[in-house]
Amino acid sequence: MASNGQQRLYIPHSTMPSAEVVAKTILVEAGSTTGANTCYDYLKFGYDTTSTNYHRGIITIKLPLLEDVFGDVTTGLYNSDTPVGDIENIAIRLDPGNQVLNLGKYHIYKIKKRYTQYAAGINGTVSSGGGHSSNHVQTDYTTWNSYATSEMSKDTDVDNLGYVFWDTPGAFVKGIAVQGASGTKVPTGSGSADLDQSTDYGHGANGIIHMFNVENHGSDNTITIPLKPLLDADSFTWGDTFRLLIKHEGAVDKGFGTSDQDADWGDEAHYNQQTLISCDASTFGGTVSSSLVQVEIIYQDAPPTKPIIKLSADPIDFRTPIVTFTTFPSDADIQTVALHHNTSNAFTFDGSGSDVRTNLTSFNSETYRDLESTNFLNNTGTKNYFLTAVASDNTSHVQGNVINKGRMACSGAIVNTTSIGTQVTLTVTGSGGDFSGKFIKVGVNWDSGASDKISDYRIVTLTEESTTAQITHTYDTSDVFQVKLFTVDRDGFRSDKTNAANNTVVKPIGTTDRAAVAKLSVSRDTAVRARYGDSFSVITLSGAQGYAVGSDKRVGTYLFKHNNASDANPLTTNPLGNNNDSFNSVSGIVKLRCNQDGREGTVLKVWGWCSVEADGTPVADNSANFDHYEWQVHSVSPSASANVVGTQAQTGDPSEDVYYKSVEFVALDAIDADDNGTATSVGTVNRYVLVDGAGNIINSEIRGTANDYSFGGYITTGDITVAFHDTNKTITRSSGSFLTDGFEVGDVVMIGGMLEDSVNNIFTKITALTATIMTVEDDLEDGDGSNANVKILKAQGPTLQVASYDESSPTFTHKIVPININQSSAVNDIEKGGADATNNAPVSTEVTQQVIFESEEYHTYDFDTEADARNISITNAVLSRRGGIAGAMPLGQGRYPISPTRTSLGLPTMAISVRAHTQAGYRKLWNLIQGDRYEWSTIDSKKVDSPDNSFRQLRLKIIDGTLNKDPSLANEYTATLNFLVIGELVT
Amino acid sequence: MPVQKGHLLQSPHVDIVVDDVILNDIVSISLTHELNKARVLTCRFRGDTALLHCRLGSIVSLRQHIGKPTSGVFSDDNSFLGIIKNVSPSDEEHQFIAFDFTTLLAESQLINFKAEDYVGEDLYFAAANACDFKYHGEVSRMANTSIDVSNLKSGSGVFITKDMNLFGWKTRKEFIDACFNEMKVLRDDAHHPQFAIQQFHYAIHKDNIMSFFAPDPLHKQAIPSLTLSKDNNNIPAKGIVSQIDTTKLVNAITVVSKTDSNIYAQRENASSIARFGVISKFIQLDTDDINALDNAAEIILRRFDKPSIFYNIVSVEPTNLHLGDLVRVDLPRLNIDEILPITSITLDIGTEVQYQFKVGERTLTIQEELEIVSNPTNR
Repeated sequence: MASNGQQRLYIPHSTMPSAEVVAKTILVEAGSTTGANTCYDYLKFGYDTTSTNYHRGIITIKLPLLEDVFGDVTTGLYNSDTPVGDIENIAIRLDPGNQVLNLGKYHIYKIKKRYTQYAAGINGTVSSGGGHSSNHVQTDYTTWNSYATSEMSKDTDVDNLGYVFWDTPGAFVKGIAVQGASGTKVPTGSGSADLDQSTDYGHGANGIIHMFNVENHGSDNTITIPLKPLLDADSFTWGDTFRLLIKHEGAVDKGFGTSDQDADWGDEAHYNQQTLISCDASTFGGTVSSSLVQVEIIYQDAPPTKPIIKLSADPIDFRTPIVTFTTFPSDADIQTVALHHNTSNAFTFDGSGSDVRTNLTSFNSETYRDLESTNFLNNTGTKNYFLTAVASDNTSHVQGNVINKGRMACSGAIVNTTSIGTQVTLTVTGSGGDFSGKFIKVGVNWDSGASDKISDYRIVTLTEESTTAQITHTYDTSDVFQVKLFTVDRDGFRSDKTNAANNTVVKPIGTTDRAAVAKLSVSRDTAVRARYGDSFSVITLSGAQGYAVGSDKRVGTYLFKHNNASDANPLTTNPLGNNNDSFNSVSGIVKLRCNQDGREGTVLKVWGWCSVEADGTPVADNSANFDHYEWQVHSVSPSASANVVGTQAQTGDPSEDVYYKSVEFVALDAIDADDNGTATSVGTVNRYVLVDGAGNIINSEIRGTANDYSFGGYITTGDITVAFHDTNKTITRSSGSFLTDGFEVGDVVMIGGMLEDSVNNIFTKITALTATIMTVEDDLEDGDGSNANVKILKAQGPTLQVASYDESSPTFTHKIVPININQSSAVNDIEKGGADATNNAPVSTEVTQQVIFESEEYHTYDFDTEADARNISITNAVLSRRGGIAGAMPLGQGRYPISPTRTSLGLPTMAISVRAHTQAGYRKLWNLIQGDRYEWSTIDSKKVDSPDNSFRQLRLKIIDGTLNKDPSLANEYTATLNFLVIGELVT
Repeated sequence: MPVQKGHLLQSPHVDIVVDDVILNDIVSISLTHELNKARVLTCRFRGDTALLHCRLGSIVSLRQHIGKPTSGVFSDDNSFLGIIKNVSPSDEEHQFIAFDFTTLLAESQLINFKAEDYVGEDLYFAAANACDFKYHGEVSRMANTSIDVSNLKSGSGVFITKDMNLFGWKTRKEFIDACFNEMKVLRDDAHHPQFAIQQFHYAIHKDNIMSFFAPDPLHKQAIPSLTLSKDNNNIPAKGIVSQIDTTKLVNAITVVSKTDSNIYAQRENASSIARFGVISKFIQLDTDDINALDNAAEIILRRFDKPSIFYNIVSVEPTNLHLGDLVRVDLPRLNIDEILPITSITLDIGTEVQYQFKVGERTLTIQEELEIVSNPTNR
């Protein structure tokens, strides 16, 4: 396909606008010595016997510029590393008119004078105004005697207007202009400065470039005048301009044996001899139209070098073909470099066949992505594609190497269903392509439905090329996922993104409606019953280790219940969580209320410090009669009406109101028989709230209901219709009552259900409450004013403290309710926390844990009982409390410590000395010291004024003791026992 | 080992089995546990015969509970299973130190964790997968010496990217630690203050069961597992010690563009400066967007204008709390009322029983904070 590199071109030609060929004729009338100042637009040379004019032809040739020959060098196609093709030969062709006779010889000379290129071309209009070039040989004004209209001297700054005569600087041509009838020879010049008449172009040192005869010829023909000698001598290159003179030369008789034997060689034709040749404007074979002269240029134009390409895939998407030129075609006039692809190894150089041609749009790049938007490699599997590059210059095309490539296909299989957190395996199989289905990488998009960009694919590189692979993944949310995959062959090309055989439905672990796992632990498995208000009577249930399944879920609330159905021996929640802020200023009464009607049968024991007069009569501690505080326990019950407080705690007989300085412990002694987990018109919640006389809540989390999750604090409104109000932060329900539902100020609630505006699906805290209006602390959105099917539920924390006033062995049941972390993405009530307490809700499976509340009765050592039984005698008892006061000595002149303050109460201790009189007394003392026998010991501190009555009944925990054999009484032992006072025997 | 302190139903009971043999004559035990670390059992005991059982590599199980020795409903949510790593014999008392199976991860053969195997996977499950390790030591005579990962089902929603510093040759624990270092979730919702970040942790709370958890103390309505307060009578004298750390406090910040030092943002928190004195910080960010610089300054001030506070708490009694559980500390007298996660737990049973825990979470560094806030989804 490549040529030998030799090319030819013809000017003038429309494709080479920079080239010009201008032919003019100057003449002089026979006998004139001055010549005519006229230049004609035809090409004649020789003597015309008719007009008696002598003619000379002047041909100006401007060779085409490089760009016209080799294209635009600015496109990037031009390779400057490759030399521009040299001009090897130039010739001009003339087309004389018909009936050319024996006319003699004609010579070609080069005109030496400088020429000027005008913007408008060689024939452009001369201007002496404004910026212009000075004129030299300006064709249109060249005459027989003169050649310029102006010339700027190097010594002046203005044009030297006027004609410059050929014979002024030197004769235009040396020779005889004319020989008249008288035989007088008229010299035409005296020098040779303007016409090269000395260079040896092969005809001697005479400046003759070429000479030719024109003899009789009966038909039209052309004259070819080779300018090779001139080209060799002057080393013309593209864009150069030169000017030639054609004139008749020599006497006719020199050529044809006429009588004028003495005529000088070089004279114009002999007088009265017809030597005129008149050229036609010819087509020269269609190459040039309407031109008097055709210039043929032969030059060297090597074909482009052979392009060598490599094919690779984009390392990011593994799909876009990337072409790299190992050898980029090099050529001076390269026109295009194109990539051709086909599904067979057949190419045309212009893309006219079945192949697809894609011209490179840029050059000098390291890589080319021009095939990206083509259908190259579109199909996968068995289909192969062929690719080559073709470089083209002005005249030739060169095809490079051919690459054969086929993309592989793949398939994937994965399980239909799985669970969150369970690893699934995708089995990938490759097929087809160049490597029989072998691949080195696998890309997997585990959730193509969400997004299917290449960056969504997890790319795995195999340790060894294979036709199969297994890839694992673990889903963190439940949904239906379409897995997509691709395989990548060793060339870096991938298959299409291919759906795995199945959609994978990911469900929560376990069954579809168990999106959480509950864990239940207890702080202890055995505790003493709560007869004395001890903290160690409390067991803490914890579900904190439970978890929601899925990264988009969290635990919404924790539910607890128990199975101790005895209303006479109920359990109690939150025995220790009592807020005594309202008693800071003055001790006060306490009352109980319940959210349900008819719960007056419930009895709550309230332990705490009560203010009394000196004789123990209750009195507020701001009274003048106030004397001291006593650790007491009293009972309260709610009224028979919902949310109405019952009678305040009182002493027995006579009934007197009791004034608490602090409530430390509460426990239900009994619950109303109707508080049995059976739903009433307002539900199953039975919530008891201990308040002070002003209604301030002391403890609002007192519950004992068996077999219902309301025990753990779970409260829900069920489906209600509400209106949200942003300014007031209120939720107004259209029916029902928040109060009878069991809600209280301070509760943390979850606003669930499919709300019109999901920003209202929040956890928030109740700051004020009426039957129909719940005020919360967080911002709400108005929405359209009404939301149906709203569910508000009380969010219960992960722990629950429980005590039992009586012996029991309850089993606790626990579960958790998951909700969506992002509420706006929740698609059903359940995900928005709208679950209720039934088993149908999407909660965890239930977990259980049994505990034991034991009686302390059989594990108490009572000093007074033993003394009364004469087993022992108490010889001494010392109650002491260390610490409590701290003072600091001042610097300077102080003599006493300043600011002595009670920093803390020290530990109360008691030292008791006893004598054992009986074996039973000795044995029990032994057990007391040995340990692991008694929960505690008790001793009465008798009143001073009535020693038979106790002022306090202290409960003691032994710290250490000694048991001594008394040598004075061999059958008796003495013991010295040290105790920590842990409380009083108040029940 | 019944410990005869406290009254009968408060007595803790401890059973230790070393390679299926009950260990008698226990003098004391100490169980310590911190976030992202192995639980450590230090046991002192007597008897040369027992010492023969307690050799390096032995499998140790510990159960302890409070209540009657034979309650019939024995439940230990904190039972320990571990490997003896240190034995210190002496004339009278001997001691061994055992670590739970987290130590298997720390001492595992190194693995070349490759990005291509993990990119796109939830960090949670990548870490869970690394935890799923079976112990093949011949010293064990117990059937179950692997880590139980069956509870690891939640996921974090944070997916691995190639930019995370996870890959290369690492032990399993190094990889897991790297995963957890990245497992931070920006909670930008109505329930959290702006720029709240939830950090995941791991621990073996019970036997060989690995747990991943993410305390959420900044949730506006976080419900604690335990409230320590005067009202609740569960703060003993000198039982709570605050540790105030101002090393990360910043109340004056200058954020300067890396590309043009003339572009910067400065912010100050006057109230914080008035209270703690001026503590300034200078950082550079790779942006010339003045708004981005200003926003970064705002983020830093909001997050770091208060000191971080830890509480070392001696509990009045052992509870069933675990690492990560939330504790509310309510001390109005000290103007303290905050909810914090438990970061370490220590149980000492010897001549007396002492249960201590520490609450308060490590504050993220400024750079970590900025990184998460500026790229909340691309992690």
